[in-house]
Amino acid sequence: MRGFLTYLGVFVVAVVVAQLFVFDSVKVSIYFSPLVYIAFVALLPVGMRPVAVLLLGFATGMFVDFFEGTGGAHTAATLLTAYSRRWMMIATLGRDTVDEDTGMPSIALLGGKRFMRYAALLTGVHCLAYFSLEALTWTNYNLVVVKSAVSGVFTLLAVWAVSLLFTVKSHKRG
Amino acid sequence: MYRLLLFLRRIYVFAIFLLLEGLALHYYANSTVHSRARLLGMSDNVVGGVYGAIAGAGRYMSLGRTNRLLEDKVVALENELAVYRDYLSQAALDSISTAEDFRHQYVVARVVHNSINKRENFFTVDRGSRDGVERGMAVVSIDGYMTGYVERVSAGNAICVSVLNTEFRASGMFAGTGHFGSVSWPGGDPRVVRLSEVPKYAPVAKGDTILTRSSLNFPEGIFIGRVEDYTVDEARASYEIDVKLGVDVAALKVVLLVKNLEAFERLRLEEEVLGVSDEE
Repeated sequence: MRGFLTYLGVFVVAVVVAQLFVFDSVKVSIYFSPLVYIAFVALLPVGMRPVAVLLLGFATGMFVDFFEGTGGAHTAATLLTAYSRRWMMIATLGRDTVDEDTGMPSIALLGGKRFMRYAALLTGVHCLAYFSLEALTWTNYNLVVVKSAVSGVFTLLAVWAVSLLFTVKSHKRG
Repeated sequence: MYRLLLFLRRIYVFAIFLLLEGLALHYYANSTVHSRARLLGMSDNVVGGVYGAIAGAGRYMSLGRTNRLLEDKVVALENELAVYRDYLSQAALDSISTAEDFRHQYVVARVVHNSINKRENFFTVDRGSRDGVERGMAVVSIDGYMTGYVERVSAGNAICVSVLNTEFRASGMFAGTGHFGSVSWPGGDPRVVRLSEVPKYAPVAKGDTILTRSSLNFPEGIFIGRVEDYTVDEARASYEIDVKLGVDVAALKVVLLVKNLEAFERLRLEEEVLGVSDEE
């Protein structure tokens, strides 16, 4: 139950507040388009069943698509990210961690370096997938790469901030 | 049989992934600018209030600037009005009476939700069908620059296709010569649009003024921007012109919605006669 409430919190903070109400209203540059909502998928428990991750990713993508009017692009990208999450975890955290750990990925659980490596890979893959889908063309692909890089860095920072917010909270509760 | 079950158990996540991904891509590939605008219209009903509140706070911060723009606009309109008053008084003396010119209808609206960082950018304004807003109306910034057009209307809101939408199309012409071409946004720089299909023989120079041509969406003569750079596409014997936009979409707060009454009436008549409707 507490796990459910925590993840409800992550969803509200990352997807609803940060994505829809904050970052969507920021108009600094065409390259600045952080996909903060992916924090929800990134921070699902390490050992969660792949099918559950996939379905939650699907729901998250649809939710974002609905509110941003993007007609399926977020869903498609998030599905890819959610599906490949397990392999990204194995690549960056090692198979043992993936099989044994059950908590929310965080610096406390994984150590700073490993956590950031995992989060960077996941946000990088997601941003590239989404912005490629959005552009739907290979001409001007460097625009997609720059956009992914700029937005990816901010997305990564946001994922880190959200994980920090929720691990600190759960420590206090004991 | 048992081995088949084992196999299925191994790949069922992949199968679900493929199925859902296929659905998402299918939907994405078949969605159009109209269906995306409809989706936005639906979601705006849910969270429009929050966007409105956020935009309200933003507007408060920029009241000074908006006010100055409005003052400038009032002065410009006063000047224009003076010319028309002159005409009218002359017309009254004239034996042939000229019908008064009410070809356009205006609605002022505030921008409540806006973006520039997507390939297909839309913005939402706080006026809808109960204020007389209709699909296809032109959107002009308060300082008189082409900004977009209305795509979808609910009772109190309208979703507009921004000029910074890769699906946006308008017809643009050179102020002096009337040579025209098609205006679109290639993505990339939010201050630059592309004017293409201008014939090669047209005289083009940096700094030339580009205005809208009369169309269903736009009245004639709305300022689009100035020629910043151009190249000749030899294959098509036409220019590819970069036009520096007049409007700063990122800073939009208040806009004018313009209905081209004549064009709307013509369209309605054609629809009636031909029985066609461009609703999806």
